[in-house]
Amino acid sequence: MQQRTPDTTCETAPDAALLVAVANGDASAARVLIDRLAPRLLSHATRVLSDRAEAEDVVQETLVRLWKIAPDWRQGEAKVSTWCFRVLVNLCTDKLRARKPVVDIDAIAEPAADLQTVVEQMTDVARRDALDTALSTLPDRQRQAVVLRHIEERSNPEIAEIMDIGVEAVESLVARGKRALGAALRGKQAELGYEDDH
Amino acid sequence: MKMTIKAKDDAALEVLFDSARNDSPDIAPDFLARLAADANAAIARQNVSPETTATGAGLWSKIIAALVPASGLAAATLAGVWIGFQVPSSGLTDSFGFADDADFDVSTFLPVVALSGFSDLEVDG
Repeated sequence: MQQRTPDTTCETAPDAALLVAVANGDASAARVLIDRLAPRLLSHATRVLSDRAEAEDVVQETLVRLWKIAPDWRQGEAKVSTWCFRVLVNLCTDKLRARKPVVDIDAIAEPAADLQTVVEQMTDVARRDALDTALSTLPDRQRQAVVLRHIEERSNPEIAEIMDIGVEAVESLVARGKRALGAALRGKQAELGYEDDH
Repeated sequence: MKMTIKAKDDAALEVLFDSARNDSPDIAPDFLARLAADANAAIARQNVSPETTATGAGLWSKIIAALVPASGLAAATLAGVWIGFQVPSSGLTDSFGFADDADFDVSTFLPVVALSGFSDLEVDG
């Protein structure tokens, strides 16, 4: 790719305008879109798949599809980022389905301690590790919904659009996901090794 | 009042989510290069060479021109022509005053149909 030169118009333009520019052959607009979208897409995919290489693959495939659709992009139908997350979520689901079955949440031990106290005593790194481990125990759809809602901070209507379900279904997935996360974190507390992490 | 287990769990989870939100992944340069190469390849497949297309202000002026059919001088010219036809020969007096100096957009007074018909006109000096 060409060396990117400063282009304030490009840097501040909305995603949809950048996509029009890409369709007109502007590689610098593509680079700005990559800078905007790739980190968020990679963050979601890494958390959902727990595998960096697979996460990079699905992000790459998502953006390839974005470039492909650029000439036919219809303004106002969806946000570019929402469209990308929708593709990404589907690709992640495909990857997860090809794997072994998820951990049975019911098999996790009953709560053993006050989660709030434990979490407050953990370091940032330990918190992220614990969350990623607990997320990996959730069913695929719950995991994606929880990450979109509470880490990507997407609204419920946008998640509904991304996951192609109703808003009530999103609320249900997120609520069940959070309950399961709480149980997983408390149940696996000793295994995760953060009992003595002060 | 004592917090319920659910409230404590929610508070704990919020601490974990907050930590995760502040942790954006480092993107490896070679991964970025792969993404950029994909974009260039897609642009090339669309039969548009990145090296030969308009860049910077040139391209953006084309996009803006596409999004705003009549702007600037063209709009002012059209406004003048339209006012010339519409205002009585007595001139811009009582019937066309802006006594309170309020801001206004001249395009408000332009007929939409007339604008669309002029969108491709070139303005020669």
